Formats: sequence, structure tokens, C-alpha cells
Amino acid sequence: MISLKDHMWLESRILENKMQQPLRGIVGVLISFIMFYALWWIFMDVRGIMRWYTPQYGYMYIRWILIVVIWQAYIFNFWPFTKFRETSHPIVSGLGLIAVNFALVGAVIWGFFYNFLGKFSIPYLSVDGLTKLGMTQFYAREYSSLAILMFAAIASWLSPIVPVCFNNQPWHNMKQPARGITVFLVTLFASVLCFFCLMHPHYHVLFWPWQEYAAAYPWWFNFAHTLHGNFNVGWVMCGTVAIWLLEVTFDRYPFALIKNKIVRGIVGFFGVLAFAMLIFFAFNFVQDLSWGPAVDGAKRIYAPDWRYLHSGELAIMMLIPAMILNFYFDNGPKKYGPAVNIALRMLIILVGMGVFHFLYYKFSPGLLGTQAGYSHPQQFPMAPGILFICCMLFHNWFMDFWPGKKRVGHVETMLDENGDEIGKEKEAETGFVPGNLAGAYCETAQPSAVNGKPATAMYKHVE
Amino acid sequence: MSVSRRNFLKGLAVGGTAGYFAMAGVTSTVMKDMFLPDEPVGDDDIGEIKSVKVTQVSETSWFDNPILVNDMQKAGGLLVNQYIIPWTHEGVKIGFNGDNSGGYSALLDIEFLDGSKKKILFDCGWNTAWMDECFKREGVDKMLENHEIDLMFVTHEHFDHYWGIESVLKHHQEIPVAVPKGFYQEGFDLLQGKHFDIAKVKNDYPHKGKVTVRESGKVHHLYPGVASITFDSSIITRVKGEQAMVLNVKDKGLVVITGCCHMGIISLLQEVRHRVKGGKKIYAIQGGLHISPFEDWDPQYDDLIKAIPAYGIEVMACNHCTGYLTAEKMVKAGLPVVQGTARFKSKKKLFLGNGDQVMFG
Amino acid sequence: MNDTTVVQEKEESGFSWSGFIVGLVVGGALFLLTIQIVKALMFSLTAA
Repeated sequence: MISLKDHMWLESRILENKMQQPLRGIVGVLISFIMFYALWWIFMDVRGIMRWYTPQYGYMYIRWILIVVIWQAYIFNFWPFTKFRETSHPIVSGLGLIAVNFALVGAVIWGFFYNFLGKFSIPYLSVDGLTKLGMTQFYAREYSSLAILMFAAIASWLSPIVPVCFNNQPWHNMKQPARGITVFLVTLFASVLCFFCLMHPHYHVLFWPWQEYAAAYPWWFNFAHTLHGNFNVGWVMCGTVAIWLLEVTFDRYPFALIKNKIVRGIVGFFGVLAFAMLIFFAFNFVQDLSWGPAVDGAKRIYAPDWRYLHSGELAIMMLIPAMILNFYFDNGPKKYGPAVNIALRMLIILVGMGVFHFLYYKFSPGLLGTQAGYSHPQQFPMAPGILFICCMLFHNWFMDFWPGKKRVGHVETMLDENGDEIGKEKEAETGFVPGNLAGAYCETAQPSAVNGKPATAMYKHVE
Repeated sequence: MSVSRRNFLKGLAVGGTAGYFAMAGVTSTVMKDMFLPDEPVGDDDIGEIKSVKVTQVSETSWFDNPILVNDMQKAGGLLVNQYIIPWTHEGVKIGFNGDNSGGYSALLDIEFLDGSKKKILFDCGWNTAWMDECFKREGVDKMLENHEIDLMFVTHEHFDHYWGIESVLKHHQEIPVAVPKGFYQEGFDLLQGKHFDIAKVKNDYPHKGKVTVRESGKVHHLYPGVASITFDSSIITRVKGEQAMVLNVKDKGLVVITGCCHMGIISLLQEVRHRVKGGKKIYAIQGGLHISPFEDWDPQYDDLIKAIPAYGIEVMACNHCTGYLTAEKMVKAGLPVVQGTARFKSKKKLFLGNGDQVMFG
Repeated sequence: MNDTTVVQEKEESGFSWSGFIVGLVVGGALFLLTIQIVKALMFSLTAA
């Protein structure tokens, strides 16, 4: 048996609203945006201080910030800083955990990749590895950054699957750090396998002569019409967005309707994959309609590989409004039943995506120092997009949405050996209570008794 | 709200969401072709010529790659305005008298069906001292003085294709000049005789002839059998717009001639296919293809090499910014790349070099 | 409030198949409308 708090600290939070809507939502978005812009200017902007947006070098750091924040909050449940997280003021907690995040990112990239793996296993995983072979520093950095960030991209696609689809089964009863280490290792193993199948073949053709013995030929060429790894980048991004949408928008429906946990997990995994493919194909199709079909061998907006990448970029442009709606605006209307609420959410998100898309391409050159046009090599919306997502996660997971919300306590519930909450009222229509990866709208009114058992009201939004 | 209306709404919401995504899935896969327009077939008849001979006056735009890339990066990157980049003009071991700058320029000798001839100077290079030597070597200086060259065709405003304009105007100030839409004010100022101190480019012979600015989106008929197409591309170092030439050689097919092809060779071939009559059969391409000019790589370029055979091109007289790595891969893939002689400071025989000629027709 | 919640949950267990069919058609039509809007907007903006 394990407490909900030890299982998923974020989900056990009781958050009280300190501001009314829409002020709470607006202030929240502003705070995340200010954090994002400060980080962007200091580290990424080509007119700023570090100027890391080249774009792959800066994007590499951003992707690792994301996966490390998922490790910190979700896989390791804030261990070994759980006490610090629980007792500190949100600003202190935010700054402290962001510092830990950055230190870990630095250690992974500079320690693990540049000075270990890149030195002793595959040269393209380090800048020095490539420059020693005679490559120009700029391209050595871009090529190695792409490989390193793809590790993180694949990991951040696979990592949420364990909590979202499988509810951390079969390790749900383990305490930290044992559970964290286990899930981390399992995810790392799966990520490494995926990296070698999806990204490593890109490096077969990137160097000349072709690295025929060290890497497989891009097996996707015949149906994707490109040798470029962007084909896989695109659908992996759609997969990441699909799993997040399942959590923040769909409340894990329709898989939540499946009572059997194992069946639910497996169907959920393949269901998310199918949904990912659907949005991947749909975004490709929409581009073909807008600009004409891609042309084999072409570049820029007609390049098949860029179209696949752009599908992933469009998916992120759908995720950002979805997260803003969930985190800051209580996930839209709640007065109807779940099905209608979810449908309305999708409608709001699609409109939001259109607005975001328009605003992004209009203002990104002036605001972010990127290039104008959709397909310019230095127009890479995933970089600022995911950094903004990271800032929203910092604001939620490290700072409890301060000052819009305040954490007033934790739900004191125990989970049995199957991972179910003891004494929790089961929702009539589902096999389990819909989860909440974001841990966003966990709030409560006064705890009240129903049928003699305390009602947690944890998943109900209360003003 | 009554129970049945609530249930109807619930069914509507579930069905609506499912229907939206199901339609997305179906239209983007099995029904895709129903929604996409048919590929246009070119119907603009540009006429025919008998032949065109192309002389590579200079294809060495610069001599030391790392120095050029460093110049751009030191100035702030690939987006900095070319007119304010302090290019390296001395101390370059493999340069021209220590100067890194060279230039791109080609001479087109066109023979029409009626036996008449015209000459077009295709770009005018960069370093005027270098261009003066190249023009002298190929007799272009005399041709300009004698007004034998009918048109100065500037493909785009880049430093290595246009900044040698003084070497042309000093011999013929009234020569008609054609530029693509997108030329910046600095480009026109240079034509009129301006000095740019940071970039060290100048023109002391103000142009006195006609300047034609060619728009994108259509085929411009220059002479019977000779046309040009302009692209709106935004290019590095703050340049916009590039034009390419299309010539229709009788009994052979279309010859596409480019300066740098920043728009992409496939995009150019597609545009020719969609606009010019007979565009499905491209007989030859000549000029820079801008694939690996800095000898970097991207699998997208391998996609290009794999896609080119489908166009049925019989002669690939590519050089200059195509890049030696690209040429090597093209040769290995069996593409008909014309080899050069590596004279007059051209480095390798992999493609046509300075002073080399190729005849179409 | 909790009593109301319990009553609401019992009523929501129904599902209208006719609503579902109508929804499928409406949803499909909405997607077709979406792609027409996107196509029109994209062509009106500078691409590349």
C-alpha cells in the first residue's frame, strides 16, 4: 500500500483559487510568458545574450529541460527534494527546482553525451567527436545537437505512457527512489531502442561516405519519399501531443471506459499511437491542400521531410492552446456532461490553434528573432513552443500556479495493491476515475461526507 | 434540461468528435487524391533556338570557404545585410592576390533558327580585379566595348554574382540590365555609382542604359526561344528574388540556366514543367545548384539526387555553388555531370571550371 | 450539492444513438469546412 501523495504527489494536491477568472487565467499565462521570454532572450534569441538558437543547439537544451522536468515531477515525484517542494514558498520552490533542472540538463549534455557517450561510443553524439574528424564547428554542433535532442524527444513521447496509460503499473506500489529509477530505466531502454531505429539511420546518409556498416539505411524511404529523419521527428511529435491531449483534454477518454487495467493500458497505448498517426496524416494533408503536394527532392516548403517536420510543429501549436485551456482556464465549460465538455474543449482548442498559428508567424521574427516564412531553416517553432510549455510546467509543477492558486494541503488517500484509492467513490460510468497528468484543476470545496465516506471532490472543479 | 435532450447532446458530442477525427483520417489517406488538384501542364510556347554555347567566365565565387563562412558568422550570421559585412580581401593564401573574392559569371552565345546570334552576359562576378582578368581571358572586355553583348542578365543581388558590375559598365555603360524583383535599394544605388565602404564594393561607372525588373509568377519572353522566370525567394545575407533562364533548343529540349538556384533546382524544374510548353522534358541544366556550397550535408540533398533521374536530364553542366560533395555523389549515382579541366584557379575536375565551355544543340 | 451530483450521474448513463449519428455527420462536415477555411487562409498568406 502506498499513499496517493507518495504515488503521484502532483495529483494529491489540493489547490485553492486565490483569484477569479478570467484574471486568474490571464495572470497565469502572463507569468509563464514572462518566464519564457526571459529565458528565450538570455539563452536563445539571436539578438540576445547566449544566442543558442541556431536552431538545433538551443533546441537541444529546451528538449532536455522538458524531459528532465517530467523526470523531476512525474517519474521521481520530486525525490529527493519532496520536502523542499512541499514546504517552500512557490517562488523559492520554482527557482530551486529550475536550478536543479538546469544543472541536470548540463550534466546530461556535457557529461553524459559530450564527454562520455560521444567520446567512447558514437562520435556524432559530441561536438568534439565530429570536429576531430574535420567537420566545421558550426555543423558539428548542429548535427550532434539533433541527435542528442532526439533522445529527449523520444523519451518525452514514451515517458508519459507509463503514468497515463498504465497508471505506473506494475510499479505503482514502489516507493521513491526505487520507482523513479525503475520507470526511468525502462523508459530509457525503450528510448534507446527507438532512437536507434528512428534516428540513427539518418546518420547513415548524413556523412560521406555513407556509414553503411554502422547504421541501417533509412528504411522509411520508399513510403516516406525522404531519407531524412524528419519523417520520424514528425510522427513522434504527434505522438507526444496525442498522449498529452489524452490527458489534458480528453481526461483519458475513451480508454477510461475500459475497466480492465491491463486491457486499458494496451488499448490506450495503441489507441494513442493511432490518434498520433491520424493527426500526422491530417496535418500533412492540410499542408498539401494549402501549398500543393510535396515534391520529391525539393527543398523548403515543397520538401517532403519539411512537411513531416511541420506536421509535428502544427501538433505543438495544437497542444499549447490545450495546455493553456487546462492549466489556466479550468479546461473550459464544465456545466455539461463529460462528452459535451470534451467536445467543446476540442472546438476551443482548434480555434485557439488557428489564432496561435496566425499570431506566431506574424510576430515571431520581431518578438523571437526567428526568420519570416514557414519553411525557413531558422524558423523552428518547436523551439520556442516547447520552451513555453516548459515554463507552463514550471509554473504548475514547481510553483502551484502562484499567485492564481495556492496549495492548501494534500488529499490523504491510500492506494491498495491494485493502485485503486481506498474509500474512493467510483464514478458510475467508468472503470476508474479519470487521471490528471497535469494535476491542474485539483481543487476542493469543504470535504463533505457521502454515504459515510469522505468525498475527495478531487477531480471536480470548484470555485 | 430533459434527460432525452441531455442524452441526445451527449450522443451528438461523442459523434461529433468521432466524426471530425474520422473524416480527418479518411480524407488524409484514402480520399486524398480527390481533394488535391491535378498537376498543371505548361502551355507557354517560348519558341526555339538552334543552339547555345555557355562559357564559364568564372565559377569560383570565392577561394577559401572557411574564411567566407567566418566573415559572415563574425558579422552576426547569415541574416546580416551583405553590404555591411567586412569581407576578407587580403592575406588569403589561395586567394587572388591575397583577396578571397572571385565571382560568378558566364557568357551565353545563342544562335537562333534564322542564323542570327546574340550574346548574353549571365552575372558579373564580385572582385573587379579578378573579373577584369577573366573578361580579358575570354575576350568579354572587347565584346562589351564593341557592344556585342546584348544583355546583362543579373540572376540575383548576391555579392558574388553582381558586385563586379563595374567591370562590365567600364566597357559599356548603356548595356541593358535585367534584374529580378526583390533587388534592394543598395543594388540600384551600386548600379548608379555608389561606394560601400564596409563591404568594399564600388562602381565608378554609373549605368546609363535601360533597367528591367522582372516579376515572379510568369514566364518572361526575352527572345524567340529564350525566356526567364523569377522566384520570390528570401536568401541569405538579406537578398530577395532570383531569376533563371530557360532556352528551348530545337530537337533537344529545354535548357535551364541558373546563377545560384537558391529557390531549389527541383522547384525550378517544377515551375518550368508547370508553365513552359514542353517542360516535362528538361534536356540540360547549367549553372550553380546551391546544394553543398560550404561542403555541409543534409539527407534532403540525397533526396534530391534520388529525384533528379525522373526529370530525364541528359546534360548536367552544374558547377560553382553546387558543391564538390554534391557533384561527387551525383557522379556516383550515375547522373550526367559534365567534367571540367580545373584551370584558372578552379580546384577540381568534378565539374565545369573557369574557362570551360559546354554546347547545347 | 452532493445529492444533486449523485442524481446527475445516474441520469448521464443514457446515450442517444440518433444523436451520435447526427454528430458523426456534423463532425465530418465540420472537418471539411475546416480544411476549406485553412486552404483559403494559407493561400492568402505569404508562404515559403
